[in-house]
Amino acid sequence: MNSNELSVVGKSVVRKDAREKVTGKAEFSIDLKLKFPRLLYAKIVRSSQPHAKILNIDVSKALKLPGVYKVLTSKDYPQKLTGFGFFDEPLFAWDKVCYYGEPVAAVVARDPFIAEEARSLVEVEYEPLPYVLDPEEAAQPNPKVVIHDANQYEDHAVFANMIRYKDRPNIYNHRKLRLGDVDDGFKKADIIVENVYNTPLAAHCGMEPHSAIAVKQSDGSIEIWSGAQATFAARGLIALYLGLPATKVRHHTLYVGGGFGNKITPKDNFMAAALATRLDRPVSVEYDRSEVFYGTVVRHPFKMYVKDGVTKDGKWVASEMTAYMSGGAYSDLGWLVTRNTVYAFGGYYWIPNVKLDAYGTYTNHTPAASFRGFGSAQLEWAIEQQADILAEKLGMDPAKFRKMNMHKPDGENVLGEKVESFGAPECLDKVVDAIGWGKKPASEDLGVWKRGIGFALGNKYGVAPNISTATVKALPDGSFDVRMSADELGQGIRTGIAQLAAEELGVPIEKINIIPIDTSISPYDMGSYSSRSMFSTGNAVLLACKDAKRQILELVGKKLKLAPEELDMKNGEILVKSDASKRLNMMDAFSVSTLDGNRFPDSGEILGKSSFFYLPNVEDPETGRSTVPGGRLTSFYMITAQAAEVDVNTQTGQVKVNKLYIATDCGKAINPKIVETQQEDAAQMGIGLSTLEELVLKDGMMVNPNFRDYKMVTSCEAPTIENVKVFIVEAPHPAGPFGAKGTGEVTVNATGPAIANAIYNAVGVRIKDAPATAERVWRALKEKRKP
Amino acid sequence: MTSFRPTEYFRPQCIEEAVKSLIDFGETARAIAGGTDLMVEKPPFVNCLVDLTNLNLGYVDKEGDGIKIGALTKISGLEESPVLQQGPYSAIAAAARSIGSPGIRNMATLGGNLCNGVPSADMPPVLIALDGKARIFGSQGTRTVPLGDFFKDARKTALKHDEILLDIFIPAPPAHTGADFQKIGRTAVDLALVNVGVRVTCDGEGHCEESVIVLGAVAPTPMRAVKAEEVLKGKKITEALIEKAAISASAEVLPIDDVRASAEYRRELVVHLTKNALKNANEMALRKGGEKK
Amino acid sequence: MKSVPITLIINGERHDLDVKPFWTLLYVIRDKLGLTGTKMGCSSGECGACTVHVDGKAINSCLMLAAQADGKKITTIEGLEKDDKLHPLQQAFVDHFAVQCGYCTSGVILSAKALLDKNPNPNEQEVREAIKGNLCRCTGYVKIVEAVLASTKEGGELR
Repeated sequence: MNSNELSVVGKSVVRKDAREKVTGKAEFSIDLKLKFPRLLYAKIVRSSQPHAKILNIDVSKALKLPGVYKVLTSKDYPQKLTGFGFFDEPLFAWDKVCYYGEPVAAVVARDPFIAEEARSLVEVEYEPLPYVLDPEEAAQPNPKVVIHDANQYEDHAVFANMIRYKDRPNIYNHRKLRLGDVDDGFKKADIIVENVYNTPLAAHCGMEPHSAIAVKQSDGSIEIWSGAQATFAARGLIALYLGLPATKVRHHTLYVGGGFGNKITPKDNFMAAALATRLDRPVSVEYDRSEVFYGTVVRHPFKMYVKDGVTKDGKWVASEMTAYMSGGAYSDLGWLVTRNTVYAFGGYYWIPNVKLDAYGTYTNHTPAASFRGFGSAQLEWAIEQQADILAEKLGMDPAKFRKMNMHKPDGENVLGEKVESFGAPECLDKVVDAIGWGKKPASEDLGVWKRGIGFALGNKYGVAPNISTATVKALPDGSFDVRMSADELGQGIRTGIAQLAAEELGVPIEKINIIPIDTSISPYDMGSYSSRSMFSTGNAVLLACKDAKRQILELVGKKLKLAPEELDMKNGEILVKSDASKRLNMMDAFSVSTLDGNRFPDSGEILGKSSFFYLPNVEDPETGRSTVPGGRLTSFYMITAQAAEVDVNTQTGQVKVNKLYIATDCGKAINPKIVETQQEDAAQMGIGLSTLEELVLKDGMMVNPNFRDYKMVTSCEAPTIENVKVFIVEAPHPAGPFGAKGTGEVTVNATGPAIANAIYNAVGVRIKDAPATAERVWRALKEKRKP
Repeated sequence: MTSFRPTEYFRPQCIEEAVKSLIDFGETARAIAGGTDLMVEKPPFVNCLVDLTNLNLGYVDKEGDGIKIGALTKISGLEESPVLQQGPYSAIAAAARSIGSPGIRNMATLGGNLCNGVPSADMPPVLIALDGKARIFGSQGTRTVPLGDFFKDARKTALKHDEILLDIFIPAPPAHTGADFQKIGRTAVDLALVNVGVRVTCDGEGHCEESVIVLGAVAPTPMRAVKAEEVLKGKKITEALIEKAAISASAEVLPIDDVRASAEYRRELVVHLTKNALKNANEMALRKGGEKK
Repeated sequence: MKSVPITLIINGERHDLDVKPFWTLLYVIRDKLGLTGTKMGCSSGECGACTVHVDGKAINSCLMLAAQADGKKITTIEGLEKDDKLHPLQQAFVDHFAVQCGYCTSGVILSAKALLDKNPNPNEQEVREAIKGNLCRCTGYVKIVEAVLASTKEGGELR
């Protein structure tokens, strides 16, 4: 079907959830409390130490407070560990705490204020232990501080081929990428550039704090209401921990007020369910904002040692990187972030000799795990600055340098994967052209302020395998219920899915009802992460619609004595392909009977169902590459190219981002305005992560778990409307629904290096340790001025 | 009590009632107005809240040749007051405008910004520079404290437990006076990493008769850079002299390292902010004959 | 503990309540009266998700004691829609894709409304200043500002 024939796909239709969100009617889990009579309120007691033995937990004062029902600790639960594939984490700390903020106990009371008072009455006696925050130090053989021995834990992620070492107990995963021979490559290089880059601890800052309600039903099952990014995974992990069959845990997923990776591993819902098993009333677990900062997963700090070599004619011949990832006290999804670091090299560059070693390492801070960009963003902070440095040393235009080192659009990438779709050159061209690179002086002197331009590429893969299931039910009014479990985080997936269904079924989008996620009703999906929902769930929905359509056309065909192939569905009607005058309204295809409850004659119900599987090849654990040449390890690559114009104050180091131009290759924009808004968010989160945001630890304790000192970009730092431009590039993916890939995560990957490159262009200092705060830039300028 | 759960709330209708309730409820009583500090800090010891918002202390009015600003004037009221839009008083509006967000400014009061004694508070520097006087009411009656003496230590002011701030009186600035406020934060909604309020009074021929340079967020209280003031006194103000004064100020302050900025960086910011403030104040002083209202 | 009897007039409707001294206006609105359109984001006045109007001024309801709102006229997001018709700001947010996750939306709209009530034709910088206390993690503010500006041009009665 070519684009001209599409009626709703590719159009910016208004979001299906927009009206309920602007009226305040859209429900988040935090809004449900009044619907539960006799609701109890829980507050979590958290560690005040980065690493310490628990000598004693005195709950007596808390229990004496009127209105307190229970105080629960690890003693009240089986000695089981949980995690997301790698089971190293307790519900409540057992004999020691390993990070500031780790849950130690929970108080349950009849109102939230009593719970808060009770929380402060629980007295925990600690014996501090030495702690480690430097991942490189923690990763050493026979380290001074052993947080846990990673070798002792249950590893259920067999496909991940995790590498661990007996004498390096803090490493929970070592991931390798090997292509060619880097030593050989560096011998061939005429120019070699070595640097160390750092990215900080950072927070997702979804505006909705985590909250969940859970209740034990009379049959012993647990019912949960929460936001989530991976409903079935959450349900499964909770059931496993509670020793219940999965079908005895029911998870309702409400709208999520911002995911970004913060709501994949179950936290609030896990705790609520665990508490509910010990209570006879529903219980609410609601995180304070400070708890969201230190009690939910954070972004991995990366310490990256990078060495790149180029020949004098500009060929990038060798790249070697050692990345120490500060994983926090438990691995959570950190093992996967570690594993997937290799894919940062799969986006566009062809480098014949590559060596990457990424170490996911325990350190004594909040567990680091899934965060928009999933490790690729941090690596690209380094890679895209290296690209600019190499180009400068070569005396070559940095756009030209990048393009000449790209893999072929129909070839293989560094991972040995077949390049399925490739919008990188076009993305780069668009932003470089739009920002005026090469058309005017690159940098400008405005007195105290100096202006500069910079750009960078970014890529982010979508995971494989991809598995989604969808069902589509035809209703007698000509509408369709779509059941699918891609969690709505704000990314607009419900609308996008509705567009796909409307297109396939030939009905207006108003006729598509997206049913909210409820594990008792909704079919399986891996969840909304890795920007996978449009590709995977979208395909499942399309297939399910095709199934429903086939059933409808078969039934109608029997009625009209025509083969189903002779019929089609368009504009809410069933029509005969060869004779436009013969058409049947969808509603008339049903026999309507008030006794019968509306059904098709000769059938109970039209229910289309399908699963979509997109499976990878086997990888070689020693090289990280596909064992099959031109194979598949990921589902797709999203590309971004971003160009920034910045003004740098040479006295104070302040960085103002005037312009941010973003080009993105999403395969196909199912809803261009929604794709555009996702990318415009680089003007907030991208700029924030690279110039402002850092979670700071002092003596192992988080000193800024709040918006006062974890600074986000406000409406006044973001560039003006006319200075944020988004270019949508469509390099269709052969397996994507209408060619669509994904778009959500790649947004933030290029903003940082584009700004860093622009700062260098403006004032000649290179900020290698993110964020490029005013003080950091000022310091770098001071250093530069030294004789 | 280990969490913020006051059991008493009292809304006095006049200042005598307010003072009496502070005495009656004792050490666990705290005055509340906008709540933009108290409701963030949520100090556990507070058992009684004395809500001052009904007292008629929200005004920006002329008084004699000068002006008086009531303690319960909202920060947004300062921002928008017609009395504060021109001349040296406009620095007061500028300071108000720099505080928080519109929502915060609609709740926060001048009294709160002064009486909480937070080192980075944005209202004290300009008000001190303009020779503001704090008028206080307590069980012993009314007394006046020059605003420069009002701040004792971080979160400690001259107010006794049984006293409330009534208003700030600002005498008419002398002729040929300019004032300015500068602040730098990390984003558009931020505490000051450094702020500065200055007054420059000239003799009509470009010589500085007197200056007051008050820096915030670089010491436990707002502090005057007295050596910097000496640099300017009696001299013809030039760019080089302003630079010298700014550098002197930078050496006088006592900043700390914290999560927001290092002491070293704060000292650097003092130089630039003080320079800009003095430049602007001087230009205003030269432009105007000064406001004698 | 002495309860404080108060009267709140929310979206034109009168509510007589007994509140505890430490209950915030946000807590009463959401968790006592069930008006959950106003959101809790940080409880420290930093994110603006709790923005409501009190006597016509935008404030952070997480910082105001319920007792302090006694006798005051309060407008929440629920008060903007009238007879199933969206307020022009709400309609503009829908039409201009200014909503992603929706969690900041109520607060942003109330802040924008406070601006438009005072200044019906702001420029872009004035809009940005008006909403700078509303943090949004999903949009980059571009379409939010576009929607606010568009709502002034598209007319309709601004209530």
